[in-house]
Amino acid sequence: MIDRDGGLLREAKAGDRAAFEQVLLRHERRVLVTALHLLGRWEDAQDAAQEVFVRLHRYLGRFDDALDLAPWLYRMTVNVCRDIGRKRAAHDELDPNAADPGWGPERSARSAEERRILEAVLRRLPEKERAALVLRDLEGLPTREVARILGSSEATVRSQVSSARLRILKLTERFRRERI
Amino acid sequence: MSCDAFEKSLALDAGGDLTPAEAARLEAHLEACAPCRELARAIQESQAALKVLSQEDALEEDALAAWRRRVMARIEGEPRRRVLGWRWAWAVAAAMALLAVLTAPQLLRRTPPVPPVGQAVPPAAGMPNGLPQPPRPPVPVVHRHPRHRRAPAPAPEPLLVKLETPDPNVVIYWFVERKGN
Repeated sequence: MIDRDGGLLREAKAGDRAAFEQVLLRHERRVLVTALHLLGRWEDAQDAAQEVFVRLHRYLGRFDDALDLAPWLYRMTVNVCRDIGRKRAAHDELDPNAADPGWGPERSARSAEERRILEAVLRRLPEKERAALVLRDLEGLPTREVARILGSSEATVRSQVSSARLRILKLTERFRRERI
Repeated sequence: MSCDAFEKSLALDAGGDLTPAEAARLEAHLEACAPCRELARAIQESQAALKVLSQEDALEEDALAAWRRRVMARIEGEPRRRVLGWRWAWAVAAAMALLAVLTAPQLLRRTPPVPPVGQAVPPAAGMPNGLPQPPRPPVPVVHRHPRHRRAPAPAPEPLLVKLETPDPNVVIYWFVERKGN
């Protein structure tokens, strides 16, 4: 998600739908996977990612072709997922046994139990800690970039990330104990 | 320093997020503290397990293609909006607010007064062709018992106008207070 999209964005701005589809192809996986890590459910992640790209299309005229699109997409993904997550939180809990039709057979075969625990644990992190952790540890972005995307300071991100890592350890241990 | 004070450093160290000075301080503590060494190992393992999630982005191509078609269909259905610059957006918002402030009292005043029940209707002017106005049916006089008087209508909800801006962190909410009848 680091490559520049200048040429494609210029063409998409001019109304070239094929160019926009190329932008979509280039970024869709990262946006979907980030949304999935933030929301923990494939259906929700699809809704969130769709909303991100619709907004991208809506505001194409605003983008400076020379700038990297990735930070904007990450920021919008976090914002959209936050809104969807708040709506969903009121009426459901993540079902750790639910099948996830978006993932390929390769994923289904690998330590499914461990993954379900981690996904459930991620869902239980406070919203801001989860966003910082997903961007830093799962997306592998530098702390400075995470701070820029989340609109906070590096010190805050460090604090959120360290707190989230400790919570994950404790929650994972608790889940394992309860499942034994 | 107590072990609790090093918990945060251990968590940061697991992701390579300590400065060299912080890492050296932690290293010195770990040499003398077995429980912290155990915690460090547990956090490292937890982080390694978490990393597995990030490597598994093998989304099914069919599911992805179906999703992509839905996105493009939705985009096709959206008209391309002309995006105004920041200054223009603010100018439009300010103009709308000013217009609302100036016109709201006049609009409210324009509501015709309803004659009280039973009051005589004033004589009407003649018809444009000089013929007299046809007689109006008498206005029935209705006596209402005070107990049947309707309760006053609740105050109307304020009108909320949401103005999205190109910056995803900035959304302008505009509350317009509506007066009752």
